Amino acid sequence: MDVRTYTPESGIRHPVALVREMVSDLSRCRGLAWRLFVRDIQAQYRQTVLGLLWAFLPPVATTAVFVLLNRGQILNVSDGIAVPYPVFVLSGMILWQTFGDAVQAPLRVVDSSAGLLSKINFPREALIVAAVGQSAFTSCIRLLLLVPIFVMYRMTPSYSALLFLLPYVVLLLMGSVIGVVASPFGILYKDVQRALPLMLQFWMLLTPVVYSRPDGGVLGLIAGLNPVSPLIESGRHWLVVGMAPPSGGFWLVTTATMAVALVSWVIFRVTLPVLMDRIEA
Amino acid sequence: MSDQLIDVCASSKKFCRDLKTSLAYGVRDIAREMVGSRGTGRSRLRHGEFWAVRDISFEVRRGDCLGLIGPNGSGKSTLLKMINGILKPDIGRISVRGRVSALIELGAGFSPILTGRENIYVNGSVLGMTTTEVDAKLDQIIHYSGIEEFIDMPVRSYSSGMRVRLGFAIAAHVDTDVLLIDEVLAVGDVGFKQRCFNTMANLAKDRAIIFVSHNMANIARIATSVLVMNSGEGIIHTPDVGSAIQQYFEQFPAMAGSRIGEHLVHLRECRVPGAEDDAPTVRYGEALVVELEYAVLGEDEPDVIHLKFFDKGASQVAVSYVRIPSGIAQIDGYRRLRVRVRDFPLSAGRYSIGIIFAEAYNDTVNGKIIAHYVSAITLRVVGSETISNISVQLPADVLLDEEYTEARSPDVRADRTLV
Repeated sequence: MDVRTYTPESGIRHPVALVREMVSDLSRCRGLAWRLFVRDIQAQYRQTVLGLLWAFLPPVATTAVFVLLNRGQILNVSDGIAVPYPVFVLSGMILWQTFGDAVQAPLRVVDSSAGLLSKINFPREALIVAAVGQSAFTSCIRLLLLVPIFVMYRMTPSYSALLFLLPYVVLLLMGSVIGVVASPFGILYKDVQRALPLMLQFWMLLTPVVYSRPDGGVLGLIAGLNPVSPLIESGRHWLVVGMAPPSGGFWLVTTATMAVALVSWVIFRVTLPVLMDRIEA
Repeated sequence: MSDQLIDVCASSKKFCRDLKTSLAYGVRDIAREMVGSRGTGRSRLRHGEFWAVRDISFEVRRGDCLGLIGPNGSGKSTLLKMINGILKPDIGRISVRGRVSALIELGAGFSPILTGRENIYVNGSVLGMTTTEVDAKLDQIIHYSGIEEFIDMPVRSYSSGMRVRLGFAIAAHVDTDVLLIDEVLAVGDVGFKQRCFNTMANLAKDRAIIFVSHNMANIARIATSVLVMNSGEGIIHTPDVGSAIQQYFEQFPAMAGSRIGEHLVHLRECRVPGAEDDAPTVRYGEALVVELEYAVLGEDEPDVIHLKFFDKGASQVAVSYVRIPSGIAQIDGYRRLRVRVRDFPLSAGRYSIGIIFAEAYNDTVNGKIIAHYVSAITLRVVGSETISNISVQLPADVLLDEEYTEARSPDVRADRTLV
């Protein structure tokens, strides 16, 4: 029979048991994560008139803003771009918002499930998996926007579009890792929740989403240090332009994200039980 | 079938009174967990903290039901959450074997937008059921909840009673070894409460149950042992459910010293003569004599004495009234008198007797209460042949009337001859 023992000791002191529990909980949580995922999708769209259309609107709206600014010569950022500017911005925007949603998802779901967390013991991973799944679902729907755009500009996707899947998954992962690491602090202080959207807004402007990476200058330097840049650039290039070697730092960012993902999972698991004292509901 | 499923060993839990301090401690706790603290630092109180649960130990075996009682804020729910693995103990160690399910808040995680049926799947999987299990039990759950006609309506339009019905129906169909129940039946109509209670009693047979309730009658019916808590500490843990419930009532300040109201009568002695031990005993059907020695301290002279009898569930089951002989009022200081209850009608078990000194009453108005001693005596009744848990057993016997039997016999014979 399954035995669970609770002591004041930190879970980190028994790494073998910790990893064993993590693996068993992950397999245990699949069914629940799926249920929560379906519940959230259904609940999200059932009480709307426009339904899934709401998924399309954010990238379309932001893209429209930048296309208009560019067309009115207020911004001049379309130099040296191989595809029509609207295609460039829209694809970049879809990728960025995938990342941004994934950053906000863990904290949002932990916060909205405080009642559940403080009453029922279920594999907590399920919440995160469901929330990240929801971000993935929304961004997959958004990718459909590229179909009419491709038709409009008489473009055909190249085989390299298949490679796009890798940076896409890494973006999702990196976003959720940031969200998961932020969530213990976000449970304690609401400041984190307020800071995240603001931070993401700035971060987007410092990332080559609506412009291509400048060769030098402060912006070029920042874009070079920004871990999101290579993912967005390569992903977009493979999706709408064609085959090219990944941009600098791509593999570094990819492997680092995978490693940090495991660490963030441990952080989440180990800190959540002590945080339950603080979210008494 | 008597394997130990829950083992709580010298466990404590502390909380912080102040929000800001609590949050700051939270950040420190995160850091401490991440560097792999041994947990020894958690055993001291920091500024502003208090023990919500202090040094509790017990074990529960399969088939046992531990009733957990205590005043509000005595740490019962915290203890349940610790056993459920939601809160980490700050000191001690808790082991739980087998699948655990907690009926702490019924219908936690219900999405108001979704229908009852959809929520059965969500809630079921939160409680650890697989989709196949829910599929198999879906009809049973819906039938048990008794809200078949509303099952495809969104839960937001349910009444609170309907939500609890559905929540309980789901929780009751989860196969578990350990069941933690925290005062969940407060809502719901009488019929459903009764059904839930029967279900729980049934589930208790092959599970380990911890049952928190403020309803002592329910505790008395279902618990095989009781832990009384106050201010986080375990006051008493005993299989003697009756005396534990007695202890519970003594936790309340109003009842402390077994006295309510002003102390206008001092009851110095109150005993059952002939029984010198702690639990005076009376035989069912025989006379109960209670000897009282009291002094009147105030202006008001009591005219009557009421003896109120409470069963172990603290329900009042009987009362006796006696008039105090008027001559006794002349005596200064302590007066002694005996109250006799003839043909004592309560069935075997444990009772507590409350004693009230009051002014005379007439048909319509109760007299003013001068002094009220809530549980002055604990009484054990023996000798009744009963299998029910009904307190009052009215003496009855069969009347075999000779004339009746004789008159009847020829008729029987006559019937036979007719055939």
